[in-house]
Amino acid sequence: MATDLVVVGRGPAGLLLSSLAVQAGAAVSVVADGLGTLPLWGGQWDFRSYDTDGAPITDPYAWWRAREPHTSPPGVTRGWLAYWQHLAALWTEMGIAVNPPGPNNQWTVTPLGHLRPTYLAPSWQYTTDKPSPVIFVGVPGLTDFVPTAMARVYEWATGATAYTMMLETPPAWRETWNALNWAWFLDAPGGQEWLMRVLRGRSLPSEGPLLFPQILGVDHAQAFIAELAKTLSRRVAEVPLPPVSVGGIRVQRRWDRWLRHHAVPFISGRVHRAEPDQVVLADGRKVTARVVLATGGVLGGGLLVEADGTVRDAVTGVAVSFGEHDDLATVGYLETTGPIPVVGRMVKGWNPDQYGEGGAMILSTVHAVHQRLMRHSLETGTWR
Amino acid sequence: MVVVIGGGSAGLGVAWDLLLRQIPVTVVESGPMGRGTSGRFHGLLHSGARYAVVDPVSAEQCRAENARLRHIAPSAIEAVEGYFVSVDEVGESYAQEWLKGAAAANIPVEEVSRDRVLEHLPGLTPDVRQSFRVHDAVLEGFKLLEMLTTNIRSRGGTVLQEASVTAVHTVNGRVSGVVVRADGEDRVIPCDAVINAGGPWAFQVAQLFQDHLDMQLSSGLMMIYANRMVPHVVNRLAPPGDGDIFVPHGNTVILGTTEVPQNTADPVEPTRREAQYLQSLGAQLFPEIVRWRVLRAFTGVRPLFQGSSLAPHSRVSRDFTVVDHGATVGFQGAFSIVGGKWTTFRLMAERTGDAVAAYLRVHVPSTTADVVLTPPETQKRQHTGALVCECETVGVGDLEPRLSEPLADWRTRTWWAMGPCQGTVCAHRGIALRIPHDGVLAALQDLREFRAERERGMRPVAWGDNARQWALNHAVTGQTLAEGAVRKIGD
Ligand SMILES: Cc1cc2nc3c(=O)[nH]c(=O)nc-3n(C[C@H](O)[C@H](O)[C@H](O)COP(=O)(O)OP(=O)(O)OC[C@H]3O[C@@H](n4cnc5c(N)ncnc54)[C@H](O)[C@@H]3O)c2cc1C
Ligand SMILES: Cc1cc2nc3c(=O)[nH]c(=O)nc-3n(C[C@H](O)[C@H](O)[C@H](O)COP(=O)(O)OP(=O)(O)OC[C@H]3O[C@@H](n4cnc5c(N)ncnc54)[C@H](O)[C@@H]3O)c2cc1C
Repeated sequence: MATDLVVVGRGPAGLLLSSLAVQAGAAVSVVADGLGTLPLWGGQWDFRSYDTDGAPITDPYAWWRAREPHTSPPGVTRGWLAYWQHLAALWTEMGIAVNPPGPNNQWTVTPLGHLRPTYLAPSWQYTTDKPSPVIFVGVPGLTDFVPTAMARVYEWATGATAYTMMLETPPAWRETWNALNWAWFLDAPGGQEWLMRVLRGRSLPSEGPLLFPQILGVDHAQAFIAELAKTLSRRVAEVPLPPVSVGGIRVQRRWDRWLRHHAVPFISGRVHRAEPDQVVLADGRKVTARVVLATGGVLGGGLLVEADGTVRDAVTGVAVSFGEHDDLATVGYLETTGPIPVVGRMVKGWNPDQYGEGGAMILSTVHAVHQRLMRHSLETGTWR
Repeated sequence: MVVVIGGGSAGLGVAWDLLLRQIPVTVVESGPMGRGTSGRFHGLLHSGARYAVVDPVSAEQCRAENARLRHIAPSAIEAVEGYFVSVDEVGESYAQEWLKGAAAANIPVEEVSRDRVLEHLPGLTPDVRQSFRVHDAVLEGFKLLEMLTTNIRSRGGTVLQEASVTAVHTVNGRVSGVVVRADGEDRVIPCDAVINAGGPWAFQVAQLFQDHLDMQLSSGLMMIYANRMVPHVVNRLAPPGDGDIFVPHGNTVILGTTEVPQNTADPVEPTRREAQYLQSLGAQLFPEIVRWRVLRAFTGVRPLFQGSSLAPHSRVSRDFTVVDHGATVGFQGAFSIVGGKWTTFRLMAERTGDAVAAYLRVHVPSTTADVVLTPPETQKRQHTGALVCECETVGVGDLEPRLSEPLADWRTRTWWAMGPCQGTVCAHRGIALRIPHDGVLAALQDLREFRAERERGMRPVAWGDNARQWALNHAVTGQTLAEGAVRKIGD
């Protein structure tokens, strides 16, 4: 089968680039040795959450506009709104309901009950533009989500009331259940009926949405949450938890399915060598096509850190700089425009952990590379 | 009443010694348990063999105390085996001298065949030439500190934490009390004698007695590797030097150490360059170490007493000294205990106890060599309730009974957040348990300090798989938990 483009990596950057290329008519293959970071987080995409002093940002468009001339690659930020709208439309097509991108950041709740900004989140996740009274609903044994502690922090941070509720355990429950065990339990009719029954038997506080840990199902979460909301006649939403994170797994599964529907093969294996037109896997297999690395930086495995501090591209062996202040958080390639383009966390200078700009990093780098590939294909009539 | 300044091995040891002589004591410790060197050491219960040539006094002391500690605190000692292996000519020629020294100090040494040692120590370099088995073992420092604390308390002694001695009062040239500062407030504890067991800070404490202690501080680096890759203590057979000992500890193994002179008593942050150097030395014994998963690096400060100021650093004795400040500067009733080892803490305590008891005219001999310490109830880990820390299987049931302990003690007493993930997925769970008890601000402040402390140890050794762990840690704490921006909305 002829392939126009081979994307190495199936984290969010690799998935988005593959989708754009597919939509532009290219034949794409994805090669990866692991699932990438989506199963490690809730799937909420940040635009720019904090300024350099750590203060939350309300209007991320204004923040980027003020800096546009200095950002690299130049010019991409002009397309922000279009990029977000594209992502929202793509997700909707995949079956991930999402609130339309607005002018401002939204607040979302952390597992400790604090608020933080985010920009675009699947609608199963609790987001709001103004903190108001909420109800935290906990389940036994899930130490990632302790309603009494969260309520204390939430009230301290917002001044709004937080009510708490603890559910009992279903007969199938084991002490070792984590969020994913709960989610699979609640993905099936038996689990859903159990939760409905338990909630119907409880009297709820008069105000506030019901906020659950992110455990309300895997493939059927969206419908189940809607049903819960209807039955209880109030808003029901989730708070994303630390890894293993159910929200990201939901996004990943839907995204994978969408790409497979569009005839994208997933090749599982580790890439050992790459040239602009070919990758070689550890077991000797070769894929010949235009190559993009979406290999995820240090965490994704695309960058290897050696004892002396040298950082190497795991695929090409090229040493990349270690950042200005010995900063492992922002290490990567300076540009997306090398002979083998890189996207996502492979690009230097972004710091999602500190500034909350992970989604912006992916959109910016992926669209820059996509546009470059498109120009090339228009000029030459081929993707290579 | 005797006040002991410092709650490390020396301070708790001497408090225990005095209590058994029916002398009431109060220990004042400025940090959480193990803030000083006693919580930042290599974990080796010395057989004495390491000092057989260079420091015969310490060698002899270690040999005797090794046997005594196995008797009085068996639950804090893991009786693994210890090996000395030579891997080059230097080691081989040193062996003769070393065997003589060991014999002179009565240290049992047994030669082991090459095949046998390679079987017992998988991964040991095939360059091994000679190997000997000795009675080295693992000393679980935090366990023993907690055990001493609870035994002191159950016999009516007092142990204060997060409290510092800031002044010493005298009447007619004799110690009459100390000023203790805790939570920003001063109070006076009347006493008849005071003992400076300040470890590397001892020279500062001695200034409260208007005396000057000439100490030689040096920093030692240690690195923790996951998976207990070495099941026994392994020493390089050579004149003592850098990076020549591996000590297993729980699910890990610790490589150490170095000796870098320093002027301050506080431990310094390790650097990447030093960590790389230490690992390269470790590779001489275990070449595959470059593929092991390193977890963190930490340093401790040796509180050695200067003795002769001309002695080169590595030759300063591991022996200890009891200083009577009445004899040196006429400050009656003030004593200092400096130098020594964890292994010899009981002996140090006995000698100091002898001096203090004599000053107080209490004629009761030390019994610490015979009285077996009782392990505290809480050291029996429950593993009950919902899991909080997966790496070390710490449950809610292990932590909830300890809600009034400082957060640092949770780590050192239950091993919560000490495993390969270094708190990435469990620190916030522990904090959530504490929030209703401590309040929001205090608990979040604890969380911030905890992250900073873990970071100091992870960053210098962020390479290979540990670099990925470091990156995951930053993503979870910065993005999922948004800990970087903990403030009220609208502030
Ligand atoms: C815990 C956590 C929380 C997060 N929270 C948020 C958030 O709240 N908001 C937000 O916007 N973003 C969040 N993110 C996303 C983050 O900010 C980054 O945007 C994202 O992780 C980068 O994704 P990526 O696609 O560049 O790389 P990755 O997701 O790391 O994907 C890398 C891929 O490359 C593959 N790979 C690497 N090397 C090779 C090789 N040699 N051969 C074959 N395959 C290879 C891997 O198997 C993997 O599939 C979070 C991330 C994490 C980990
Ligand atoms: C790198 C390294 C590795 C080592 N490895 C080993 C080993 O494997 N085996 C072994 O046997 N020994 C080892 N040692 C030696 C051993 O750890 C130390 O000798 C011993 O722990 C010292 O105990 P200490 O009580 O004297 O000091 P510390 O443990 O430092 O205790 C002193 C205490 O005094 C407190 N303090 C100071 N000033 C005040 C004040 N004004 N008021 C109240 N409190 C105060 C401090 O907070 C501190 O907790 C090692 C040492 C180092 C540095």
